[in-house]
Amino acid sequence: MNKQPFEDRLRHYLTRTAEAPPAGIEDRVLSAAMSQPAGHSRLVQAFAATAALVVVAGIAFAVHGIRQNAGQPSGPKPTPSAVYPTPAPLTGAVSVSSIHMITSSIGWADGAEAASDGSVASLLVLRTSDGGAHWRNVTPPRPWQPSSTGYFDENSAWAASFYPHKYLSIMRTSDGGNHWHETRIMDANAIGPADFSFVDTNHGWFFVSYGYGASHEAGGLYGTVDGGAHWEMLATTDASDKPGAMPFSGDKTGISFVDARTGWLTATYPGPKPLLYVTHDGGSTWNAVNYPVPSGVDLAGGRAITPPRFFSSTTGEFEVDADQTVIYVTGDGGATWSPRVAPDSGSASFLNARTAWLVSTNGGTIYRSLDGGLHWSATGHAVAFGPLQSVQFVSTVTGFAVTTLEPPGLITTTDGGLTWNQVPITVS
Amino acid sequence: MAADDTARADRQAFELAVRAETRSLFALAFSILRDAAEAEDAVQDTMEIAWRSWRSLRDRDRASAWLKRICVRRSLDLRRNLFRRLLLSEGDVRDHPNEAKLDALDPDLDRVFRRLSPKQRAVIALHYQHGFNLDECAALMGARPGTARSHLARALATMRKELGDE
Repeated sequence: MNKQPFEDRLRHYLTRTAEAPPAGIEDRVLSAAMSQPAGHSRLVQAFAATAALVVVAGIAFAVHGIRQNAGQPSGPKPTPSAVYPTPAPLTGAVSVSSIHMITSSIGWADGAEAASDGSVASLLVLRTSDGGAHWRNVTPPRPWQPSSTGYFDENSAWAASFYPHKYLSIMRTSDGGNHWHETRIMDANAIGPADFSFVDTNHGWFFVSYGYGASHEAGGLYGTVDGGAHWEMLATTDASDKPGAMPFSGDKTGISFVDARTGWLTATYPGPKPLLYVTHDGGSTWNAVNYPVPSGVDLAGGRAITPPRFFSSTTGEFEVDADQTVIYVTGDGGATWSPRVAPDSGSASFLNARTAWLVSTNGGTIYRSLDGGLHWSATGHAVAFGPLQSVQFVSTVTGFAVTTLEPPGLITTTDGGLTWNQVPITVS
Repeated sequence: MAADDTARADRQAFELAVRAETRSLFALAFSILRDAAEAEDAVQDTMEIAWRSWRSLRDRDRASAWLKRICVRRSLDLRRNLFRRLLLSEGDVRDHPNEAKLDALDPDLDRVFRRLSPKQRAVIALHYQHGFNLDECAALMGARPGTARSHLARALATMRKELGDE
Protein backbone atom coordinates (compact mmCIF):
# COMPACT_ATOMS: atom_id res chain seq x y z
CA MET A 1 0.00 0.00 0.00
CA ASN A 2 1.50 3.30 -1.09
CA LYS A 3 0.38 5.87 1.40
CA GLN A 4 1.84 9.05 -0.02
CA PRO A 5 -0.12 9.42 -3.29
CA PHE A 6 -3.44 9.14 -1.48
CA GLU A 7 -2.44 11.70 1.14
CA ASP A 8 -1.24 14.01 -1.63
CA ARG A 9 -4.57 13.58 -3.38
CA LEU A 10 -6.34 14.40 -0.12
CA ARG A 11 -4.25 17.53 0.46
CA HIS A 12 -4.86 18.62 -3.12
CA TYR A 13 -8.61 18.12 -2.75
CA LEU A 14 -8.77 20.00 0.54
CA THR A 15 -6.63 22.87 -0.68
CA ARG A 16 -8.30 23.28 -4.05
CA THR A 17 -11.79 23.17 -2.62
CA ALA A 18 -11.10 25.75 0.06
CA GLU A 19 -13.43 28.70 -0.18
CA ALA A 20 -12.15 32.25 -0.03
CA PRO A 21 -13.67 34.25 2.81
CA PRO A 22 -16.58 36.36 1.56
CA ALA A 23 -15.89 40.06 1.10
CA GLY A 24 -16.40 42.18 4.17
CA ILE A 25 -16.49 39.28 6.61
CA GLU A 26 -14.16 41.03 9.07
CA ASP A 27 -16.44 44.07 9.30
CA ARG A 28 -19.57 41.97 9.73
CA VAL A 29 -17.97 39.80 12.39
CA LEU A 30 -16.55 42.77 14.22
CA SER A 31 -19.81 44.67 14.14
CA ALA A 32 -21.82 41.73 15.44
CA ALA A 33 -19.35 40.83 18.17
CA MET A 34 -18.92 44.34 19.51
CA SER A 35 -22.62 45.09 19.55
CA GLN A 36 -22.75 43.27 22.86
CA PRO A 37 -21.18 44.06 26.24
CA ALA A 38 -17.53 43.12 26.50
CA GLY A 39 -15.36 41.23 28.79
CA HIS A 40 -17.33 40.74 31.98
CA SER A 41 -17.56 37.37 33.55
CA ARG A 42 -20.66 35.39 32.70
CA LEU A 43 -21.88 35.76 36.24
CA VAL A 44 -21.57 39.52 36.15
CA GLN A 45 -23.32 39.64 32.79
CA ALA A 46 -26.08 37.39 33.94
CA PHE A 47 -26.73 39.40 37.06
CA ALA A 48 -26.49 42.64 35.10
CA ALA A 49 -28.96 41.44 32.52
CA THR A 50 -31.30 40.12 35.15
CA ALA A 51 -31.06 43.27 37.22
CA ALA A 52 -31.77 45.41 34.17
CA LEU A 53 -34.83 43.39 33.40
CA VAL A 54 -36.07 43.77 36.91
CA VAL A 55 -35.57 47.54 36.83
CA VAL A 56 -37.18 47.98 33.43
CA ALA A 57 -40.06 45.72 34.07
CA GLY A 58 -40.50 47.00 37.58
CA ILE A 59 -42.21 43.84 38.59
CA ALA A 60 -41.14 40.61 40.12
CA PHE A 61 -41.45 37.42 38.17
CA ALA A 62 -44.11 35.50 40.04
CA VAL A 63 -43.46 31.83 39.71
CA HIS A 64 -44.05 28.94 42.02
CA GLY A 65 -40.49 28.47 43.18
CA ILE A 66 -38.97 25.08 43.25
CA ARG A 67 -37.10 26.30 46.25
CA GLN A 68 -37.53 29.20 48.61
CA ASN A 69 -33.88 29.99 49.24
CA ALA A 70 -32.96 33.61 49.62
CA GLY A 71 -30.34 35.17 47.36
CA GLN A 72 -31.38 33.48 44.16
CA PRO A 73 -30.93 35.27 40.87
CA SER A 74 -34.13 37.03 39.95
CA GLY A 75 -36.31 35.24 37.46
CA PRO A 76 -36.83 36.44 33.90
CA LYS A 77 -40.08 37.78 32.61
CA PRO A 78 -41.96 35.44 30.28
CA THR A 79 -44.31 36.61 27.60
CA PRO A 80 -47.84 35.26 27.39
CA SER A 81 -48.14 31.95 25.62
CA ALA A 82 -49.35 31.55 22.08
CA VAL A 83 -50.70 28.34 20.58
CA TYR A 84 -49.15 26.93 17.42
CA PRO A 85 -50.93 24.29 15.35
CA THR A 86 -49.22 21.46 13.51
CA PRO A 87 -47.12 22.60 10.52
CA ALA A 88 -47.67 22.02 6.83
CA PRO A 89 -46.36 18.82 5.14
CA LEU A 90 -42.72 18.68 4.07
CA THR A 91 -41.41 18.75 0.52
CA GLY A 92 -37.65 18.11 0.88
CA ALA A 93 -35.71 14.98 1.83
CA VAL A 94 -35.65 14.34 5.58
CA SER A 95 -32.78 13.02 7.69
CA VAL A 96 -32.70 12.12 11.36
CA SER A 97 -29.95 13.15 13.75
CA SER A 98 -31.10 11.58 17.02
CA ILE A 99 -33.96 9.47 18.29
CA HIS A 100 -35.77 9.27 21.61
CA MET A 101 -37.99 6.21 21.69
CA ILE A 102 -40.46 6.07 24.57
CA THR A 103 -41.72 2.56 23.75
CA SER A 104 -40.91 0.14 20.95
CA SER A 105 -43.52 1.89 18.81
CA ILE A 106 -43.81 5.49 20.03
CA GLY A 107 -40.94 7.91 19.94
CA TRP A 108 -39.52 11.25 18.88
CA ALA A 109 -36.65 12.26 16.62
CA ASP A 110 -34.67 15.37 15.85
CA GLY A 111 -34.58 15.75 12.09
CA ALA A 112 -33.84 18.10 9.24
CA GLU A 113 -35.45 18.82 5.89
CA ALA A 114 -33.00 19.31 3.04
CA ALA A 115 -33.25 22.07 0.48
CA SER A 116 -32.80 21.29 -3.21
CA ASP A 117 -29.06 22.01 -2.97
CA GLY A 118 -28.62 19.61 -0.05
CA SER A 119 -28.32 22.24 2.64
CA VAL A 120 -30.58 22.19 5.68
CA ALA A 121 -33.79 24.04 4.88
CA SER A 122 -35.47 23.57 8.22
CA LEU A 123 -35.02 21.68 11.44
CA LEU A 124 -37.72 19.30 12.52
CA VAL A 125 -39.36 17.62 15.47
CA LEU A 126 -40.65 14.22 14.35
CA ARG A 127 -42.86 11.67 16.08
CA THR A 128 -43.55 8.03 15.26
CA SER A 129 -46.20 5.68 16.55
CA ASP A 130 -45.17 2.58 14.56
CA GLY A 131 -41.58 1.98 15.61
CA GLY A 132 -39.99 4.34 13.11
CA ALA A 133 -41.64 3.03 9.95
CA HIS A 134 -43.42 6.35 9.51
CA TRP A 135 -42.78 9.73 11.07
CA ARG A 136 -45.05 12.73 11.44
CA ASN A 137 -43.72 16.24 11.28
CA VAL A 138 -44.87 17.93 14.48
CA THR A 139 -42.45 20.87 14.39
CA PRO A 140 -43.86 24.22 15.49
CA PRO A 141 -44.52 26.15 12.26
CA ARG A 142 -41.83 28.36 10.76
CA PRO A 143 -40.40 30.92 11.20
CA TRP A 144 -39.85 29.36 14.62
CA GLN A 145 -36.84 27.02 14.43
CA PRO A 146 -35.95 24.41 17.06
CA SER A 147 -32.34 24.40 18.23
CA SER A 148 -32.52 22.07 21.25
CA THR A 149 -35.15 19.55 22.26
CA GLY A 150 -36.18 17.54 25.30
CA TYR A 151 -38.59 14.62 25.40
CA PHE A 152 -40.22 13.06 28.44
CA ASP A 153 -43.02 10.71 27.44
CA GLU A 154 -45.16 9.94 24.41
CA ASN A 155 -47.03 13.25 24.67
CA SER A 156 -44.68 15.70 26.38
CA ALA A 157 -41.81 17.49 24.69
CA TRP A 158 -40.01 20.84 24.82
CA ALA A 159 -37.96 22.70 22.23
CA ALA A 160 -35.80 25.80 22.47
CA SER A 161 -34.79 28.44 19.99
CA PHE A 162 -32.29 31.24 20.59
CA TYR A 163 -32.36 34.85 19.53
CA PRO A 164 -28.93 36.06 20.71
CA HIS A 165 -28.86 39.30 22.64
CA LYS A 166 -32.66 39.25 22.81
CA TYR A 167 -34.41 36.24 24.27
CA LEU A 168 -34.79 32.50 24.13
CA SER A 169 -38.04 30.83 23.21
CA ILE A 170 -39.26 27.59 24.75
CA MET A 171 -42.05 25.64 23.07
CA ARG A 172 -43.93 22.92 24.93
CA THR A 173 -46.45 20.31 23.88
CA SER A 174 -48.53 17.93 25.96
CA ASP A 175 -50.44 16.26 23.14
CA GLY A 176 -47.71 14.65 21.07
CA GLY A 177 -46.89 17.75 19.09
CA ASN A 178 -50.39 18.53 17.84
CA HIS A 179 -50.23 21.88 19.58
CA TRP A 180 -47.32 23.89 20.94
CA HIS A 181 -47.33 26.74 23.46
CA GLU A 182 -44.54 29.29 23.57
CA THR A 183 -42.86 30.97 26.53
CA ARG A 184 -40.20 33.59 25.93
CA ILE A 185 -37.41 34.20 28.44
CA MET A 186 -35.63 37.52 28.29
CA ASP A 187 -32.06 36.26 28.69
CA ALA A 188 -29.76 38.17 26.35
CA ASN A 189 -26.77 36.02 27.32
CA ALA A 190 -28.22 32.74 26.10
CA ILE A 191 -26.64 31.52 22.88
CA GLY A 192 -27.53 27.85 23.27
CA PRO A 193 -27.58 24.97 23.12
CA ALA A 194 -29.85 23.97 26.00
CA ASP A 195 -29.96 20.64 27.81
CA PHE A 196 -33.38 19.67 29.16
CA SER A 197 -34.18 17.29 32.01
CA PHE A 198 -37.67 16.49 33.28
CA VAL A 199 -38.60 14.19 36.16
CA ASP A 200 -42.33 14.40 35.43
CA THR A 201 -44.52 16.47 33.15
CA ASN A 202 -44.37 19.45 35.51
CA HIS A 203 -40.89 19.56 37.04
CA GLY A 204 -38.09 20.28 34.63
CA TRP A 205 -34.82 22.13 34.15
CA PHE A 206 -32.58 23.29 31.37
CA PHE A 207 -29.00 24.49 31.32
CA VAL A 208 -28.35 27.05 28.62
CA SER A 209 -24.88 28.00 27.43
CA TYR A 210 -23.68 31.60 27.55
CA GLY A 211 -20.49 30.71 25.66
CA TYR A 212 -17.28 28.86 26.30
CA GLY A 213 -13.54 29.42 26.37
CA ALA A 214 -10.34 27.44 26.77
CA SER A 215 -11.55 25.14 29.54
CA HIS A 216 -14.72 26.70 30.81
CA GLU A 217 -18.30 27.28 29.82
CA ALA A 218 -20.65 29.83 31.32
CA GLY A 219 -24.35 29.28 31.50
CA GLY A 220 -27.59 29.54 33.37
CA LEU A 221 -29.92 26.98 34.91
CA TYR A 222 -33.68 27.43 34.65
CA GLY A 223 -36.41 25.42 36.36
CA THR A 224 -40.15 25.01 35.95
CA VAL A 225 -42.84 23.48 38.16
CA ASP A 226 -45.70 23.89 35.70
CA GLY A 227 -44.50 21.98 32.66
CA GLY A 228 -42.73 24.93 31.12
CA ALA A 229 -45.42 27.61 31.19
CA HIS A 230 -43.09 29.60 33.45
CA TRP A 231 -39.35 29.26 33.96
CA GLU A 232 -37.30 30.60 36.86
CA MET A 233 -33.58 31.24 36.73
CA LEU A 234 -32.14 29.10 39.51
CA ALA A 235 -28.40 29.61 39.16
CA THR A 236 -25.66 30.91 36.92
CA THR A 237 -22.08 29.75 36.65
CA ASP A 238 -19.62 31.51 38.93
CA ALA A 239 -16.21 32.35 37.48
CA SER A 240 -14.60 31.84 40.89
CA ASP A 241 -15.88 28.25 41.05
CA LYS A 242 -16.46 28.82 44.76
CA PRO A 243 -17.98 25.96 46.76
CA GLY A 244 -21.71 25.72 46.23
CA ALA A 245 -21.74 27.58 42.93
CA MET A 246 -22.63 26.08 39.62
CA PRO A 247 -19.22 25.44 38.07
CA PHE A 248 -17.65 27.74 35.48
CA SER A 249 -14.86 25.26 34.72
CA GLY A 250 -15.28 22.64 32.06
CA ASP A 251 -17.35 22.35 28.90
CA LYS A 252 -20.78 21.21 30.05
CA THR A 253 -22.01 17.92 28.62
CA GLY A 254 -25.44 17.76 30.21
CA ILE A 255 -27.72 17.83 33.22
CA SER A 256 -29.99 15.16 34.64
CA PHE A 257 -32.38 15.34 37.55
CA VAL A 258 -33.58 12.37 39.57
CA ASP A 259 -36.33 14.17 41.46
CA ALA A 260 -37.36 17.72 42.29
CA ARG A 261 -34.31 18.23 44.49
CA THR A 262 -31.44 16.05 43.27
CA GLY A 263 -29.73 16.63 39.96
CA TRP A 264 -26.38 16.18 38.26
CA LEU A 265 -24.23 18.28 35.96
CA THR A 266 -21.25 17.00 33.97
CA ALA A 267 -18.42 18.67 32.10
CA THR A 268 -15.31 17.72 30.20
CA TYR A 269 -12.20 19.28 31.69
CA PRO A 270 -8.48 19.15 30.83
CA GLY A 271 -7.59 18.00 34.34
CA PRO A 272 -7.20 14.56 35.91
CA LYS A 273 -10.77 13.55 34.99
CA PRO A 274 -14.09 15.01 33.82
CA LEU A 275 -16.20 16.98 36.28
CA LEU A 276 -19.28 15.65 38.06
CA TYR A 277 -21.42 17.95 40.21
CA VAL A 278 -24.58 17.31 42.23
CA THR A 279 -27.33 19.51 43.64
CA HIS A 280 -29.66 18.51 46.45
CA ASP A 281 -31.76 21.65 46.50
CA GLY A 282 -33.28 21.70 43.04
CA GLY A 283 -30.38 23.41 41.29
CA SER A 284 -29.49 26.34 43.54
CA THR A 285 -26.23 25.03 44.94
CA TRP A 286 -23.82 22.57 43.41
CA ASN A 287 -20.94 20.55 44.80
CA ALA A 288 -18.24 18.53 43.10
CA VAL A 289 -18.50 14.77 43.40
CA ASN A 290 -15.38 12.68 43.57
CA TYR A 291 -15.36 9.35 41.83
CA PRO A 292 -12.63 6.74 41.57
CA VAL A 293 -10.41 6.21 38.55
CA PRO A 294 -9.70 2.52 37.93
CA SER A 295 -6.09 1.42 38.17
CA GLY A 296 -4.30 1.64 34.85
CA VAL A 297 -6.97 3.82 33.25
CA ASP A 298 -6.21 7.36 32.07
CA LEU A 299 -9.17 9.73 32.25
CA ALA A 300 -7.09 12.92 32.02
CA GLY A 301 -7.04 15.49 29.27
CA GLY A 302 -10.63 16.43 28.54
CA ARG A 303 -12.49 13.20 28.02
CA ALA A 304 -16.20 13.14 27.39
CA ILE A 305 -18.63 12.35 30.21
CA THR A 306 -22.36 11.65 30.06
CA PRO A 307 -24.79 12.99 32.67
CA PRO A 308 -25.97 10.24 35.04
CA ARG A 309 -29.08 8.35 34.09
CA PHE A 310 -31.13 6.78 36.87
CA PHE A 311 -33.31 3.70 36.53
CA SER A 312 -34.79 4.04 40.03
CA SER A 313 -34.27 6.30 43.02
CA THR A 314 -31.13 4.35 43.88
CA THR A 315 -29.68 2.79 40.70
CA GLY A 316 -28.04 4.73 37.91
CA GLU A 317 -25.01 5.05 35.65
CA PHE A 318 -22.80 7.48 33.77
CA GLU A 319 -19.95 6.98 31.32
CA VAL A 320 -16.52 8.47 30.71
CA ASP A 321 -14.91 8.11 27.32
CA ALA A 322 -11.55 6.33 27.37
CA ASP A 323 -9.60 3.80 25.31
CA GLN A 324 -11.99 1.45 27.06
CA THR A 325 -15.09 3.35 28.17
CA VAL A 326 -15.48 3.48 31.94
CA ILE A 327 -19.06 2.98 33.11
CA TYR A 328 -19.82 4.17 36.64
CA VAL A 329 -22.76 2.59 38.42
CA THR A 330 -24.44 3.42 41.71
CA GLY A 331 -26.82 1.51 43.92
CA ASP A 332 -27.20 4.18 46.59
CA GLY A 333 -28.62 7.12 44.70
CA GLY A 334 -25.23 8.46 43.66
CA ALA A 335 -23.62 8.61 47.10
CA THR A 336 -20.92 6.30 45.72
CA TRP A 337 -19.97 5.34 42.17
CA SER A 338 -18.22 2.11 41.15
CA PRO A 339 -16.29 1.91 37.87
CA ARG A 340 -16.77 -0.85 35.31
CA VAL A 341 -14.22 -0.88 32.50
CA ALA A 342 -15.94 -1.79 29.23
CA PRO A 343 -14.23 -4.04 26.65
CA ASP A 344 -14.00 -1.23 24.08
CA SER A 345 -14.50 2.47 23.53
CA GLY A 346 -18.09 3.35 22.77
CA SER A 347 -21.43 4.60 23.98
CA ALA A 348 -23.61 2.50 26.27
CA SER A 349 -27.36 2.09 26.30
CA PHE A 350 -28.84 0.81 29.53
CA LEU A 351 -32.29 -0.78 29.46
CA ASN A 352 -32.26 -1.04 33.25
CA ALA A 353 -29.67 -1.38 36.01
CA ARG A 354 -28.55 -4.78 34.74
CA THR A 355 -29.03 -5.00 30.98
CA ALA A 356 -26.91 -2.79 28.75
CA TRP A 357 -25.39 -2.59 25.30
CA LEU A 358 -22.15 -0.96 24.21
CA VAL A 359 -21.57 0.06 20.59
CA SER A 360 -17.88 0.27 19.75
CA THR A 361 -16.73 3.45 18.05
CA ASN A 362 -13.71 1.62 16.66
CA GLY A 363 -15.36 -1.17 14.72
CA GLY A 364 -19.09 -1.17 15.20
CA THR A 365 -19.04 -4.24 17.46
CA ILE A 366 -22.11 -4.51 19.70
CA TYR A 367 -21.48 -5.79 23.24
CA ARG A 368 -24.14 -6.77 25.77
CA SER A 369 -23.97 -6.99 29.54
CA LEU A 370 -26.53 -8.66 31.77
CA ASP A 371 -24.94 -7.74 35.09
CA GLY A 372 -24.78 -3.95 35.04
CA GLY A 373 -21.54 -3.70 33.09
CA LEU A 374 -19.39 -6.17 35.04
CA HIS A 375 -19.13 -8.60 32.14
CA TRP A 376 -19.68 -8.04 28.42
CA SER A 377 -20.05 -10.32 25.41
CA ALA A 378 -19.97 -9.39 21.71
CA THR A 379 -23.40 -9.88 20.15
CA GLY A 380 -23.18 -8.37 16.69
CA HIS A 381 -21.80 -5.77 14.33
CA ALA A 382 -23.15 -2.60 12.79
CA VAL A 383 -19.94 -1.59 11.05
CA ALA A 384 -21.61 -1.29 7.65
CA PHE A 385 -23.51 1.74 8.87
CA GLY A 386 -20.45 3.72 9.98
CA PRO A 387 -20.07 5.20 13.44
CA LEU A 388 -23.40 5.11 15.29
CA GLN A 389 -24.93 7.68 17.56
CA SER A 390 -28.08 7.91 19.59
CA VAL A 391 -28.10 4.17 20.28
CA GLN A 392 -31.14 3.22 22.32
CA PHE A 393 -32.66 -0.10 23.36
CA VAL A 394 -36.28 -0.15 24.51
CA SER A 395 -36.47 -3.88 25.25
CA THR A 396 -34.12 -6.84 25.40
CA VAL A 397 -34.52 -7.31 21.64
CA THR A 398 -35.55 -3.98 20.12
CA GLY A 399 -33.04 -1.22 19.59
CA PHE A 400 -32.60 1.91 17.49
CA ALA A 401 -29.60 3.94 16.37
CA VAL A 402 -28.71 6.75 14.00
CA THR A 403 -25.89 6.38 11.51
CA THR A 404 -23.47 9.26 11.09
CA LEU A 405 -23.09 8.67 7.38
CA GLU A 406 -24.47 11.40 5.15
CA PRO A 407 -27.37 11.69 5.17
CA PRO A 408 -27.89 10.45 8.76
CA GLY A 409 -30.37 7.61 8.84
CA LEU A 410 -32.14 5.27 11.21
CA ILE A 411 -31.26 1.62 11.79
CA THR A 412 -33.08 -0.87 14.00
CA THR A 413 -32.55 -4.29 15.50
CA THR A 414 -35.17 -6.75 16.69
CA ASP A 415 -32.79 -9.45 17.87
CA GLY A 416 -30.87 -7.70 20.61
CA GLY A 417 -28.25 -6.14 18.35
CA LEU A 418 -27.26 -9.25 16.43
CA THR A 419 -28.41 -7.82 13.11
CA TRP A 420 -29.35 -4.28 12.05
CA ASN A 421 -31.49 -2.98 9.22
CA GLN A 422 -31.70 0.48 7.71
CA VAL A 423 -35.11 2.12 7.91
CA PRO A 424 -36.09 4.65 5.24
CA ILE A 425 -37.20 7.93 6.76
CA THR A 426 -40.79 8.37 5.67
CA VAL A 427 -42.42 11.54 6.90
CA SER A 428 -45.99 12.65 6.48
CA MET B 1 -10.59 57.90 32.78
CA ALA B 2 -8.50 54.83 33.52
CA ALA B 3 -11.51 52.60 32.93
CA ASP B 4 -12.23 54.35 29.63
CA ASP B 5 -8.63 53.85 28.55
CA THR B 6 -8.80 50.18 29.44
CA ALA B 7 -12.04 49.72 27.54
CA ARG B 8 -10.62 51.51 24.51
CA ALA B 9 -7.48 49.37 24.62
CA ASP B 10 -9.61 46.24 24.85
CA ARG B 11 -11.62 47.22 21.82
CA GLN B 12 -8.53 48.06 19.81
CA ALA B 13 -6.82 44.79 20.74
CA PHE B 14 -9.94 42.82 19.92
CA GLU B 15 -10.37 44.56 16.57
CA LEU B 16 -6.78 43.75 15.70
CA ALA B 17 -7.38 40.13 16.61
CA VAL B 18 -10.54 39.98 14.49
CA ARG B 19 -8.78 41.45 11.47
CA ALA B 20 -5.77 39.16 11.94
CA GLU B 21 -7.62 35.92 12.59
CA THR B 22 -10.92 36.03 10.72
CA ARG B 23 -9.65 34.67 7.43
CA SER B 24 -7.79 31.75 9.00
CA LEU B 25 -10.78 30.99 11.22
CA PHE B 26 -13.03 31.01 8.17
CA ALA B 27 -10.69 28.53 6.47
CA LEU B 28 -10.82 26.28 9.53
CA ALA B 29 -14.59 26.45 9.78
CA PHE B 30 -15.12 25.92 6.07
CA SER B 31 -12.93 22.84 6.02
CA ILE B 32 -15.18 21.26 8.65
CA LEU B 33 -18.54 22.60 7.52
CA ARG B 34 -17.97 22.67 3.71
CA ASP B 35 -20.45 25.52 3.50
CA ALA B 36 -19.46 29.18 3.23
CA ALA B 37 -22.52 30.59 4.93
CA GLU B 38 -22.27 28.17 7.84
CA ALA B 39 -18.54 28.85 8.11
CA GLU B 40 -19.20 32.56 8.43
CA ASP B 41 -21.79 31.78 11.11
CA ALA B 42 -19.18 29.77 13.00
CA VAL B 43 -16.63 32.58 12.79
CA GLN B 44 -19.20 35.11 13.93
CA ASP B 45 -20.17 32.88 16.86
CA THR B 46 -16.50 32.50 17.70
CA MET B 47 -15.87 36.22 17.81
CA GLU B 48 -19.02 36.91 19.82
CA ILE B 49 -17.97 34.34 22.38
CA ALA B 50 -14.43 35.72 22.37
CA TRP B 51 -15.52 39.32 22.84
CA ARG B 52 -17.64 38.37 25.81
CA SER B 53 -14.63 36.74 27.48
CA TRP B 54 -11.97 39.07 26.09
CA ARG B 55 -11.10 40.74 29.37
CA SER B 56 -10.71 37.39 31.09
CA LEU B 57 -8.09 36.30 28.56
CA ARG B 58 -4.98 36.87 30.60
CA ASP B 59 -2.40 35.99 27.96
CA ARG B 60 -3.22 37.85 24.76
CA ASP B 61 -0.30 36.11 23.04
CA ARG B 62 -2.38 32.97 23.17
CA ALA B 63 -5.43 34.59 21.62
CA SER B 64 -4.85 32.98 18.24
CA ALA B 65 -4.83 29.43 19.62
CA TRP B 66 -7.77 30.26 21.87
CA LEU B 67 -9.83 31.58 18.97
CA LYS B 68 -9.01 28.55 16.82
CA ARG B 69 -10.17 26.20 19.53
CA ILE B 70 -13.44 28.04 19.98
CA CYS B 71 -13.94 28.08 16.22
CA VAL B 72 -13.32 24.35 15.80
CA ARG B 73 -15.61 23.57 18.72
CA ARG B 74 -18.32 25.80 17.34
CA SER B 75 -17.98 24.32 13.86
CA LEU B 76 -18.29 20.80 15.23
CA ASP B 77 -21.34 21.87 17.22
CA LEU B 78 -22.94 23.33 14.13
CA ARG B 79 -22.12 20.29 12.03
CA ARG B 80 -22.88 17.63 14.61
CA ASN B 81 -26.22 18.95 15.68
CA LEU B 82 -28.62 19.46 12.87
CA PHE B 83 -30.67 21.10 15.57
CA ARG B 84 -28.28 23.96 15.55
CA ARG B 85 -28.92 27.59 16.19
CA LEU B 86 -29.80 29.33 12.97
CA LEU B 87 -28.57 32.89 13.05
CA LEU B 88 -30.15 33.85 9.78
CA SER B 89 -33.81 34.49 9.87
CA GLU B 90 -36.45 32.81 7.81
CA GLY B 91 -36.51 33.46 4.10
CA ASP B 92 -32.78 34.11 3.93
CA VAL B 93 -31.87 31.79 1.09
CA ARG B 94 -28.23 30.79 0.98
CA ASP B 95 -26.30 30.05 -2.16
CA HIS B 96 -23.79 27.24 -2.38
CA PRO B 97 -21.47 28.35 -5.14
CA ASN B 98 -18.84 25.87 -4.07
CA GLU B 99 -20.83 22.79 -4.99
CA ALA B 100 -19.95 22.84 -8.67
CA LYS B 101 -16.35 23.53 -7.81
CA LEU B 102 -16.20 20.51 -5.50
CA ASP B 103 -17.76 18.24 -8.06
CA ALA B 104 -15.40 19.36 -10.78
CA LEU B 105 -12.23 18.77 -8.81
CA ASP B 106 -12.45 15.25 -7.42
CA PRO B 107 -16.04 14.06 -7.28
CA ASP B 108 -15.19 10.56 -6.01
CA LEU B 109 -13.10 11.86 -3.13
CA ASP B 110 -15.67 14.54 -2.43
CA ARG B 111 -18.40 11.90 -2.18
CA VAL B 112 -16.55 9.74 0.35
CA PHE B 113 -15.24 12.74 2.30
CA ARG B 114 -18.77 14.00 2.80
CA ARG B 115 -19.82 10.60 4.12
CA LEU B 116 -17.33 10.80 6.98
CA SER B 117 -18.51 11.74 10.45
CA PRO B 118 -18.05 15.42 11.41
CA LYS B 119 -15.12 14.65 13.72
CA GLN B 120 -13.45 12.52 11.08
CA ARG B 121 -13.78 15.35 8.57
CA ALA B 122 -12.45 17.79 11.14
CA VAL B 123 -9.30 15.86 11.97
CA ILE B 124 -8.60 15.19 8.28
CA ALA B 125 -8.91 18.88 7.44
CA LEU B 126 -6.98 20.11 10.47
CA HIS B 127 -4.14 17.65 9.85
CA TYR B 128 -3.82 17.58 6.06
CA GLN B 129 -5.05 21.02 5.09
CA HIS B 130 -3.97 23.17 8.01
CA GLY B 131 -0.90 21.23 9.06
CA PHE B 132 -1.65 20.68 12.73
CA ASN B 133 -0.08 17.62 14.31
CA LEU B 134 -2.44 15.15 15.93
CA ASP B 135 -1.88 16.43 19.45
CA GLU B 136 -2.76 19.90 18.22
CA CYS B 137 -5.80 18.54 16.39
CA ALA B 138 -6.96 16.86 19.59
CA ALA B 139 -6.54 20.08 21.57
CA LEU B 140 -8.46 22.09 18.98
CA MET B 141 -11.28 19.56 18.93
CA GLY B 142 -11.44 19.21 22.70
CA ALA B 143 -10.63 15.53 22.40
CA ARG B 144 -7.86 13.34 23.66
CA PRO B 145 -4.96 12.56 21.30
CA GLY B 146 -5.92 8.90 21.07
CA THR B 147 -9.38 9.83 19.92
CA ALA B 148 -8.01 12.14 17.24
CA ARG B 149 -5.71 9.38 16.02
CA SER B 150 -8.60 6.95 15.99
CA HIS B 151 -10.77 9.35 13.97
CA LEU B 152 -7.94 9.91 11.50
CA ALA B 153 -7.09 6.25 11.05
CA ARG B 154 -10.70 5.24 10.60
CA ALA B 155 -11.39 8.08 8.19
CA LEU B 156 -8.39 7.23 6.05
CA ALA B 157 -9.27 3.54 6.03
CA THR B 158 -12.85 4.29 5.05
CA MET B 159 -11.87 6.62 2.23
CA ARG B 160 -9.21 4.31 0.84
CA LYS B 161 -11.58 1.37 0.93
CA GLU B 162 -14.40 3.20 -0.79
CA LEU B 163 -12.04 4.60 -3.41
CA GLY B 164 -10.42 1.23 -4.03
CA ASP B 165 -7.06 2.58 -2.96
CA GLU B 166 -6.08 -0.19 -0.53
